Amino acid sequence: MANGASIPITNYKYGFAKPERYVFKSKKGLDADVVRQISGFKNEPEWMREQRLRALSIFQSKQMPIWGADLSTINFDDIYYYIRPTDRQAKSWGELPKEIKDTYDAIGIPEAERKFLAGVTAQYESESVYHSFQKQWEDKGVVFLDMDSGLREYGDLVKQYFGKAIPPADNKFAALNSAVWSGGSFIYVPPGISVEIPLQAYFRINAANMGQFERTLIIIDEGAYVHYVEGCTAPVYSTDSLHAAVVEIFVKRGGRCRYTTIQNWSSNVYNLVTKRAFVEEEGIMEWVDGNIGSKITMKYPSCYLTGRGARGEILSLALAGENQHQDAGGKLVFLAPETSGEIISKSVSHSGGRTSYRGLVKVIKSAERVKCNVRCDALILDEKSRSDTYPTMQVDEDNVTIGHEAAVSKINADQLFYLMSRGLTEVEATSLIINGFIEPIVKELPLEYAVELNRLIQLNMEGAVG
Amino acid sequence: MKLVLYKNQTELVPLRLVTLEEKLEVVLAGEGACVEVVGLILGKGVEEKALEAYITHAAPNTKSNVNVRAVLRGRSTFSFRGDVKIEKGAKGADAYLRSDALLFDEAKMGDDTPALEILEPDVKAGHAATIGKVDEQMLFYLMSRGLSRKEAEKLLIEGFINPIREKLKSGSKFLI
Repeated sequence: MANGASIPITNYKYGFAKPERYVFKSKKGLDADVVRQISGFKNEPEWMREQRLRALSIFQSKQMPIWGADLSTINFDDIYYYIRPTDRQAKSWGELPKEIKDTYDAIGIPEAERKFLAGVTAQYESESVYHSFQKQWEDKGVVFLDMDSGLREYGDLVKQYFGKAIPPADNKFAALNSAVWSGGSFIYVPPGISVEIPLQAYFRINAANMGQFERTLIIIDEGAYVHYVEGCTAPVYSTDSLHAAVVEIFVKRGGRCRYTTIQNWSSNVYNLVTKRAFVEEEGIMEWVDGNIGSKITMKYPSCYLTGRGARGEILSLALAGENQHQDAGGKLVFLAPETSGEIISKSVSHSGGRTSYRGLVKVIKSAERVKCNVRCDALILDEKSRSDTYPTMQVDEDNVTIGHEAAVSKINADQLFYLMSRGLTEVEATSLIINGFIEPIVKELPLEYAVELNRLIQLNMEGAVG
Repeated sequence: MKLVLYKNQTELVPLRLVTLEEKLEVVLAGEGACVEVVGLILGKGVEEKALEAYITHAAPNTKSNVNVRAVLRGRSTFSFRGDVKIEKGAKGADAYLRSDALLFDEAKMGDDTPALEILEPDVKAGHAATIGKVDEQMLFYLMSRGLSRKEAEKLLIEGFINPIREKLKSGSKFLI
């Protein structure tokens, strides 16, 4: 991009960049050599290397999506596909390099950890450098590792599930991720174990022009429960950055998984993520998906309900400001009788931003007594902004109850006037109304995220209202 | 079918879907233009019906209301693509897009996409869609009053399609 450092980014709270200090960096661009190099560097088993190379050829042969956001400015030859920040993983906080610690201090991980978080896998660049896990969970057999360690230590389990929910041929960016993935989390919860405290991982991108291709695999065994929290904040860079993650989740019979994401990439990042969960009998999958940052996001968390009585819930929140396009939503695919699901989407566009809700509800023949409800609401704050809704329903079964509802509106002048007559400024009143609008989703977030989100919205609104 | 409405023109567009596929385009080009689209789709046998409706609000204070109801029996299929676009500057536009389908036997809803594209904040826009069988609770109520299941079902279907049928009868000039 020609405008380089002049990309207009205002009020970006986490917009700081640390000097790069890397042990290994692949060359720019992507070919079979780069893929072999990444795989060799990680000492991966043969099957993974084969799969990466196969995925690479799928990536090269696949077309870019012809729908959705404008991705024409991505230059795949101008990206580093692998960067390894430090030579080995640090076990304790003190061992971490100073810049990395500074970065985390700024996001507030140590405080978060003090608040009894079960474990923190902090991802600086492409690989987890800091890993801590409370012993109590380890004793119960809960596995919470970065994906590379997961592959090393639980090779058979990984081989059984890796790429089974999202095969490389699913879409171009899933293929790219399968070829060059690095980092991400691997979680296994044994039968009947309930992990009460959320597992958290913080992701950061900190090298200009590098893509982050993390890969997460979560397996919830029968009757188990976990809440995984992923928060993304990335420093500002002058050239476009690509984030193409893949998240695969398997919820076994009677299990339950909640996956919370707050994505706050800096406003030059392309965030193209494939997330999918397979849910067996009586299992529950909940996606809580917040999209605040990035230049372009295309992300539709999906639930494939494969067993009788399974349930999928998707809560999607999108906030788009200047030069941002949030193309988000969710997919529910009902493959068994008596399954149920709900999608709630709330989006706010301001200062020329664009939000699009894109969703799919699919019911196959014989999936009787399916119940599904979709609700998407959008707020447009000014003349320059835009909001779209593209819901698709495909229903091949007659014995179902499916509803969809959507409304697009601007901020109610009466409400604004009332609040301002009570002494609030226009900005305060506007952010109060927005916070009320998105409340159904915010109340599902862990407390520290909810607080941060409310602050972020206030921050984003300043200057947005004239 | 393509229709352009100018200043303060009001039109009721009835869609009976005589052919299997129909495409309707309405452009609300003048201030205060108003369109109401009502569609009644009855599918039976192995019919595969499809309806596309594109409504563009290009002027201020324009109003559109799309209401499509389908009763599908046998192995019939119905696909609906509705797209309401509100252009920048179409202040005070009011758009509502609604599709409801009642399914029986082996019928299915092929692809139901009621989309909205909105480039102007000073508007009111909404859409809703339902797909399903007749309401079991309503059926139960009617049956508890002595009606057979068949009669009760018939009554509910009539209630479902009557508002649309009335509009269809009233002809093409209709004030919203």
